[in-house]
Formats: sequence, C-alpha cells, structure tokens
Amino acid sequence: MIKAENLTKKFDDIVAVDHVSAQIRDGSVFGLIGTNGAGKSTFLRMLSGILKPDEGTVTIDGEQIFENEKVKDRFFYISDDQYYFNNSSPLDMMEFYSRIYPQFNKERFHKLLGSFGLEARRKVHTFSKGMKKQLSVICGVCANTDYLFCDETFDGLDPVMRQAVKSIFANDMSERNLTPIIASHNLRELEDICDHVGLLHRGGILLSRDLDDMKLNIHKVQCVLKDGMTAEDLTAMQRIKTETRGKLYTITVRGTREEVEGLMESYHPVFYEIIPLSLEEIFISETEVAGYDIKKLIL
Amino acid sequence: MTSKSLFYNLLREDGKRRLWSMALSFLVFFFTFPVGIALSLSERMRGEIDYTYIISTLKSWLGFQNGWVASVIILLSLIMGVTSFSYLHSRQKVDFYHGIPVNRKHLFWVNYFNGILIPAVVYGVNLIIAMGVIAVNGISPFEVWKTALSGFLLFMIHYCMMYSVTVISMILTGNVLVGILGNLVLQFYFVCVIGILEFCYSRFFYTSYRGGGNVFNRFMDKCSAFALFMVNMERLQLGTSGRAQAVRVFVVLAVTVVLTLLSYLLYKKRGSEAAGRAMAFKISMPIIRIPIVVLSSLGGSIFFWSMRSSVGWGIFGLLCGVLLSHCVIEIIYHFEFRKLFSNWKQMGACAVLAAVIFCGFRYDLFGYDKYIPSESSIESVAVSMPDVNFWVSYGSAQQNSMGEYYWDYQDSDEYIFNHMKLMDTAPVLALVRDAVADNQRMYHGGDYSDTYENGKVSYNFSIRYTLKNGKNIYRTYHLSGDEARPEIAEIFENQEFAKAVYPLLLQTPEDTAWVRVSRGEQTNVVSRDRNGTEKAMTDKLLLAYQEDLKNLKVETMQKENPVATIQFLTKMQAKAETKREEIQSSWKYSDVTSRGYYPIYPSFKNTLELLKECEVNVEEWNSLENVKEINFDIYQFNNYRSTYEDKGSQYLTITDEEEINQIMSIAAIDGYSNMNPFGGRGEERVTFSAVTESGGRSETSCTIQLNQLPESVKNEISKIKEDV
Repeated sequence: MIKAENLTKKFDDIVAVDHVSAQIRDGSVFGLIGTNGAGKSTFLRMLSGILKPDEGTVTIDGEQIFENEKVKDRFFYISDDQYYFNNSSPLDMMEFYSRIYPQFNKERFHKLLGSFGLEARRKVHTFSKGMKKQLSVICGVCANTDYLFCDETFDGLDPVMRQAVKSIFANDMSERNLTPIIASHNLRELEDICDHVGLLHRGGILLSRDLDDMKLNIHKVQCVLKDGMTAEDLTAMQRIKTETRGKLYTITVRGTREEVEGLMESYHPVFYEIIPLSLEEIFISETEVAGYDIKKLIL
Repeated sequence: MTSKSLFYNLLREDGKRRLWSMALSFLVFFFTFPVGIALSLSERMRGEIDYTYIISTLKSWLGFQNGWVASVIILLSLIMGVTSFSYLHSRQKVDFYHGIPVNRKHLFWVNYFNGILIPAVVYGVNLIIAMGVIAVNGISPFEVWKTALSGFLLFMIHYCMMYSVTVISMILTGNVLVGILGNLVLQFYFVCVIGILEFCYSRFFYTSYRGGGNVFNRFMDKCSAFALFMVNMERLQLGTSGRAQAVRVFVVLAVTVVLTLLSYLLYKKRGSEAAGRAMAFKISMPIIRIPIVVLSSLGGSIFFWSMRSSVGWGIFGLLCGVLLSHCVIEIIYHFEFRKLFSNWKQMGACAVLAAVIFCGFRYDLFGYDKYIPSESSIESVAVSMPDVNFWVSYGSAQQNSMGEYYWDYQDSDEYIFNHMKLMDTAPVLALVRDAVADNQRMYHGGDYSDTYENGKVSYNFSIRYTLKNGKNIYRTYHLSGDEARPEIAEIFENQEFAKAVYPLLLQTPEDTAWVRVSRGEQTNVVSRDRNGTEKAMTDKLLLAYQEDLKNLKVETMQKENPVATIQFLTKMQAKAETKREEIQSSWKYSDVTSRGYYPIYPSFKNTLELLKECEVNVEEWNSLENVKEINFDIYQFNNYRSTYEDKGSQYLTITDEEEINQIMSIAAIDGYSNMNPFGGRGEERVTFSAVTESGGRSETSCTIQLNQLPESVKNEISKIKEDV
C-alpha cells in the first residue's frame, strides 16, 4: 500500500503540493484528478522518488521511497512526456529497461508492440505523440512492477488505444494485482477504470473517495410527481440538486439505491426511475456541496 | 537492486548513448597520434633527418609538452563534462533517470567515470596504434614508450581535474548554456582577478615591485584548474627535477579528488526540480554574482581610467561595469529581461566596494608607496639594479632527458635576492628615502618610464628587505640624478653586491671548461680543455678575471670602457658547443653557448697578461694606428618627424688622423658600452664605424658621447641635423 502523509512541495514561492495525505490500496486503480497546475505531476514525482518532499513522507508498505532502490524496483513511472534515448528504437529501450527491471518481460514486450502496431526497430523520434505514449505504456506494463504511475498517459491516445490500454491494466490487475495510479485532468477518461479518486486543487486534496462508495451513496432520480406536489415536498430525501423541466424533475440525492427507491415509493409519484450518475456528475455534486464549482476545476 | 553488474550495465548503456563523443574523440586522437606520427616519420624515410632528432621529435609529440594535445584535452574535458551531466538540465531526462530504480549515487559515478573512461580508452588505443606506426618505420617503440606513457598519465590526470570543474558547473546550473558560462567563470574568474590586481598594483603604485615577473603571477596556478594545467605544462617539462614534478602531480591529484568529492556532494544535494532553471542552488546565485559584478565594475573603471586617466571616466567605467554585469547576470538567472534590476541593493553595494578598491589603489589609501621599513627592523637588504646587470645571464646550461641542451633561465632578481644579504643598509635606505620623496612630489597615478631629465639619468632599482621578523618586502624604486652618486658607488663596490650580481664570481675552476674571448666580430677560444693540457691556463684565467672583476671600481668605469669580452664556458656549455660543432649547426644551442660573456676593461691587468700568454694580441685592442677612417651613418641623426631626402652620401666620413685618434681614445665598442653602467648613459651618444686596414679592411661599430667629439665633427653633425 502506498501511503502519503502530509506531503508538501514548494518551488520557490509556489506551493505545488500542500500537506496532501492519501492512501492507495494495492490492486485498485487510483485516479488523481485535477486541473493543470493542481499538483498532480508533483505528487506523482514525489511518489516516484524523483522529488524529495519538503515536508511529509511517502512510503510503500512502510518503506520510504526516496533513494530507496529496493522500493523503487516496485514501480514504473510513466512521465507525461516520457524520455527516450536519442536515436533509439523500442528495442533499445527494451534492452535498457530489461537491465534495470529484473522482471522485465521481453516476450510480452514484443507481443504488445505487435498488438499496438509499433515497429520494434523504428526510431522512436519518428513516432507520433500517441505512439510514444503507447510505447511508454508497453514499457511500463512489461516492467512487471507492482505499481504503475501514469502521468496524463491517456492524453493523446485515441479512444481505441485508450480502451486497449485500459484492458491491459484490467488484465494485469486481475492476473498479478497491478496497481495503476493515473493522473489526469479529464474525469471522463478515468470513469470506467478508477476504483478510487483523489481530487487535487491548488496543491491540496479536495476529496479522496472510493468510486463505488460515491456511486452507491448518490443517485439521480427522474420523476413526475402527483399533481400538487413539488420537489420541495420530498422532505425525507437528502436532495443535493434539483432540476425541473415542466413536470419532470431530475433530483440528485444521497442514499443507497434501496433507500431512495423506498422513499420514492412512499411519495407515490406518477413516474420515477433511478438513472446512473457519471463520474463527472458525482464530482459536480460532491464539490458543489463543498462550495466549489467543479466546472472551473476540471474539464 | 544496484549491483556491480548493473553498474557496468549502466556504464555500457551510457557508453552506447555517447557514441558520437567517442567517435569524435577517436578521430581527434587518431589524427593526432598515428597519422601525425606517420607524417613526421615520412621525412625520415626520405633520409633527411637524423635518428636522434626523430626520437626527440617523437618524444616531444608524445610527451606532456604537446600543446595540441593539451588543447584537445581542454576541449574534451568540456565536451565530456557537459554530455555526462546535461541530463540534469532537462526535466524529461531527470524524471527518466531519477524515476528508475537506480540510486543517484550510482548514476553519478556511472556518468562521471564514463566521462573519463571514454577519452582515456580512445587516447590509449591511439597511442598503441601510434607505437605500431613507429615500429613499422623502423624505430623501436621502446625508445619512446616511457615518454608516451608519462604524457598519457599526466594529460589524463589534468583532464580529470578540468573535467571535474565542468561537472561541478553543470551540477550547479540547470541549463547547458549557463553551465558552460559557469565553467568559464570557475576557470577564469580568479585569472581575471589576478590580471586586474596586477594591473592596479603596477599602474597605481610607484614602488610596486616590477622585477621577477608579475607579483601576482605566483598565485596563477592556484587560480583554477585551467591555470594549474597551463602552469604545469610549463613546469612539468622533461628535465625538471623529479621531486618538483612529483609535488605538482600530487597537487593535481589532490585537487582532482577534492573537486570530485565536491561534485558528488553537490549532486546529492541537487534537487531534481532544478532542471531548466539557471542556477540549481538559490544560495549560489549571489555568491557567484557579487564577485563577478565587483570585478566587472573594477575592470570597467580601470579600463576607462587607463584610456583617459580621468576620475570621471573611471566613474563612467565603474557604472558601465556594474550595470552591465549585474543586469546580464540577473537576466540569465531569471531568464526574464524585466528582472534586470533585481537585487539592486546588492548591485549598489558591489559598486561601492569596487569604488573603494579603485580608490585604494588610485589614491594609495593604505600608504603603500610611502612605506619604508625602519632601519632597526631590517635584518638585511638585497638590491637589484637592472642597469648594472641587464647583460648578465642568470641560470645554467642543462641537458634534458632527451639529450637536448637548454638554458635553464633564472630571473635576475630571483638570483640576486637569493645570493645577496647586505648588512650595510645605510646607503640603500638613503637612496630609498630620496626615491620616496621624489614620488611624493609627483602626481600620484602617473606613469614612470626611463626618461632623460635635463641630461641626468633616471634609473630603477628593486629591493628586497628582509625584516628581523622573517618577513620579506619587495619594492621597486625610481630615481633620477647622478648615476654615480656616492651611495650607488658604495653599494656597487660592496663585495657582497658584486658576488650576488655576477654569477661568474661564484663559478669554480672545476666547472669551467673553456675560455673564449670576443672582440667585435672576432671570437677566439683561448683555452680549451681538450685533454687536460690547457686546464691550468683555464683555471688561472678564471681566477685572474674574478680578481679583476671584484676590484673593479666605479671610478675606473667612469674612465674606461670595455675593450673586449670574455666567456668562461661551463662544462655543460662546452658539451653543447661540442655537439653543435659535431652537427655543424650554426643555430643549434646558440642560446646555451652564447651566454656568460663578461667585459674586459683595459685595467684588467691580470686577465690581459694571461691572455697575452695565450697569444691573444691584446695590444692591438688599444692600438689606434690601424683605424684609417671613421664613418657616421647620418640616418641616425634623422628626426623622426622629418622625411629624409637623399642628399648625397649616407655617411659622414672622418679621415683626419688627429680627429680619429681623439675619437678612438674615448670611444667604446658599441656592443660593450652598455656593459658599463657608469659610462655616461645620460648623455646623447652617436655610433660610428671604425675602418681598419691591417690584414684587410674590416669595420668595427663604436659609440661615443656626442659632446666628446671634436668640435669640427660636432659642427658637421649639427649641420646634418638641421638639413634633414
């Protein structure tokens, strides 16, 4: 388990990460959401042992990461702008990483290169941005580490490749308990993969929740109420947000599906249905409650 | 996880990525050694050059004295240092290298060692190929391998030192260009400090010591790795003492170790976030900026002051220096033009500090020029008078390990100060007091040079005061007046003074091989110890001349001029001369064999008697009978402002026997008159050619004071001067 406690990093007068604490469970996907400059990359770079925190600690299974080769052996960091040696080919990178990561799977590397349609001997500098991202993911996955730190890795991948990468992650999670930590400024990108999401804003963590918890405890109800009733009359429900379009109400409420259904039944509406919330909607609701306008924070 | 194998794996991977630098180094060394040597040996193949010379050429090309290899080493230390650690300047690369499970310590050493291994291997391989080239050309590589190996080792340790400085500059900065600029600062800042201090010291202080090279130059090898390398290039030549070489090599090794450890510590302290910034450590910003700004301000003020000698221009230069340097550095630090006046208070403080230093020199705020040690505090003094000893050769003939003879030059002041301890300080201090008083009368900050003042001579003398507390104080004084004032005569006639000024007085018969006498263009070996038969005469001549020279009085020199010169060749000089004769070269070793001539005055009776015994016709030296004609070249009377027009003969010819006798009785041979410091230096002199016709026509160049010429000749010369 990765544990960050009170992590702080300043660059001159700018506080990039301000007393952030988070726990990342093994075998889950941790999504790190935030706008540009929110501190996601800095947080990940501290997690990777690249930056030394000014304050606080970051550990993997209780061991400090910074300058600890044994611990650093357990993760692979994919930067938002991954470096490849000058004039190198994917094969050269494979050779290098295989010397650094003892568990590196060369066979899988070749297989994945073929699957992604990347030529093994072609110079990386001739690759497109998306192809470089694919190569970085392939290197990261084939390193066979316990954790994979991805900084804006999906940015630049087309939807098909994005899906392919997600399925590789899912496969590795089930097969060898891989724990991907993915930083992104795009909520939609992480929606179908993350188990836990941390929202960073201005260097601080706004919220950190399990997606399932959030999804189980918040619901959207579309309903048409009896004549004479309005949404205001649904007093037993913990309404977060109400939208009205003629007689159709769309209400975001807290509570489990069963609780919400029970309450709605008790009001004898003309019609009601519970519809799923997107991650973005959940965040909008949660952060609005906290007094933030999420649309200003993330895309 | 990092193991030995990973370390070597990383070394190999890093090597792969630096193939271009390997290729570049290989090409440079390939053309330097195998190709360069093959080219030079091709001459030998044509049989044009002798074997010894070829070996000596090969040794100098393969050894530490090869300036071209030194340039390559300097350039490579920069290129390798930059390529080894330039990844620190890119966030992308830093994230890559610091994100992998490799300890930074290992990363540092991998990059550091690769930067040394690449040139070492490439250099070594090319040396081996060069040995093959030498063998193919019929020369045994065993003749030169020691020189090649010592050259390789010496160049490589200096490379490591220079390379470490580049590494430090790369670690201290976050941008490649700033790193290279930083390297220049580290290598040249203190060299510039020395240059400016030397300039201020010699320009503003009248009594600044001007002998024995520059005062601050002795600190040059402590200025930077580059300066130490350059000084060592000169000092670690073959033939210098093994102990001195060992000390210098040890210093280089020690400096390299310190610099390497420092670079390692800085690397460990350096944050990854420094990539892309100008400076990696915030604290280093003022530490580097302030000294540069102070030096630039001082340099600016001195530059403009020296152009116009005006305080106004000095202030202008100071402002230019402080503003330009501070603003440029701040712009570089922030990569932002609008930040040029950041830390303006520090800029102001730098300007004030530079102004104080400038004024300290300009107005002698600390009383440097007035200082005279009290008589009671002085243990002894040593005086060097360039006017007395400028013609004396100091040093000795030496042979280097390649068998070549060379003159191991020693500075005259260094020799004199090491050999002179005058306990009678009174005449010296009397001169000093007069000189200091003279200085005070003159505007401080002017420029002195040897100038004639109302027919009086002006002269410099340097003094080393050895104080009772063991401290040595050096000063150079300037005084105008009578060249033979009593104090000077007293000093000159002090036996301790003469012994320290003329190395010949300490030369022993055991070390003396030949005696040679020269007059005009004629030089004769009068005693040559070929088989020991003439050794007795050589010894007698030496002792006789030493006696005559010791007894030489100022009064004698005021009356007489040297009529010939005598040389007592040391054994090493004689060997060089023999070698020169063997190879029939007129120029080879002439610098060694032509040194050590001393004047023979007519009053040197002991010497002249013995020379007579050696069948030297000394009588002829004073004979006037043979001079048939005297020719004054009238070009010497040309005023430099005039344009000479051809108005007939180039010479003013004197044929009147009486006039010739009058002139020749006073005239001195041109080449020897300067050996007499009391021969009327203050007066205007004219040169002429004395034509003799005994045994064929020959000409001797002579000199005489203008006012000593017969009236008729003086009038002729006046007319010529008016005409031209």
